[in-house]
Amino acid sequence: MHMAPRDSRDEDLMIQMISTADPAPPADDPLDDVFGSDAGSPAFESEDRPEARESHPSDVRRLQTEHATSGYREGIAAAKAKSIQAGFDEGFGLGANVGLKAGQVIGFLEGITDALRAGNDDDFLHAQQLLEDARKDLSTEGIFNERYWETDGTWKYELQAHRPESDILFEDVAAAHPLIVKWNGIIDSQLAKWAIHRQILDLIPETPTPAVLEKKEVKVEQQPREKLDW
Amino acid sequence: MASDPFDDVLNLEDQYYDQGYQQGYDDGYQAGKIEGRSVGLKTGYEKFLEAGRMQGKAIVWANRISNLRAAAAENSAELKSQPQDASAAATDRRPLPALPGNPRLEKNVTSLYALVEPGTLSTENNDEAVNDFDDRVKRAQGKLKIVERSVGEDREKDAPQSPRQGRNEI
Repeated sequence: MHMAPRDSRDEDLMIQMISTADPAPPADDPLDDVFGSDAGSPAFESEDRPEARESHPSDVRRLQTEHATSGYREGIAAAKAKSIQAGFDEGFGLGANVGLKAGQVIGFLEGITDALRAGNDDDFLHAQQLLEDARKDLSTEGIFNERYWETDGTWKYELQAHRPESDILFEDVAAAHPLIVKWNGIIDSQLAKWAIHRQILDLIPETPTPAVLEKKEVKVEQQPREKLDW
Repeated sequence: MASDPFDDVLNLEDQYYDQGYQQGYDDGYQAGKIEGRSVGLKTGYEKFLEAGRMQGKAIVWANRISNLRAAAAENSAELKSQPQDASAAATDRRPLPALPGNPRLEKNVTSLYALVEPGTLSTENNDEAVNDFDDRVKRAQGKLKIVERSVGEDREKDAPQSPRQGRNEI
């Protein structure tokens, strides 16, 4: 979607920076004593011929470029290996929250379309069209379009929840996605039109099978609502 | 500059390498985080889209089963006041075609919903949460197929079956 691989560019930049850096030693460089000559000695006069001096620093520069670049490469690799999974985990939680909402929209529309299929009338055709549009809008490409996301994976759109920035939840970010807002509006009117009660199954006293019961340990109350932190 | 110039000369290669490494590490850490975040966003989205879809379908089915509507109405004044049949509707509310009620269908729809019930699915990416999620989605997909078949809505759609695994690795 919005990610451009960065490595090669970074490395180019690095190499450029290194090669433009001027490694000329400061005037009081103690190495002058070793490699240079004292004033008055015959060799010292060679400074008057610049071409003779220039071959020397370029060697240092090459050495620097070579080693700094290989260090840079390995630094990148080591750091990425460390941070990529952490980044993934962050993204996963937010993506999951958006996915749940988008999935519900599609599920509702599939259910309505299937129910009307036998009638094969205008209502059915309309529902079918809505479903098709929703699937397009809510595809992975649609949801993660660069219109909605910065290249670093943060959202561009305004949040509706009025919370201090530190308290923003994944759910707030998911609910504010423009496509989710748009489709939730459509769903609300569809549910009203077909007298579908969203909470119907929450209202039914449960007689779950033991298998279901045992899997229902993670309850809302126990589940920490993930706070946004990036 | 160090007092002994030869230290620097002899360690020059290491020094350049370390400089490069440090800068690479700083840049790479951020790049890796961003890259991971991007992949994680999509992965989380696609996995939970399926759970949300099943929630939505279960709710629509439940609304078409008169026994379930009646059971819910007992606990909701709003539902109770709603007309149960189309003829009584003064508004343009038209209930969807009802499904023939039978206890098995009712049970399958309610357990389908229980498996993917909103608020009970953890969206965290750790082994326990992911195993629980994958297990529940898999079982919900089974229920979904059973219900689809029994109400005649099954379309030959093979649901993605990912192999069981722990936390999502990148």
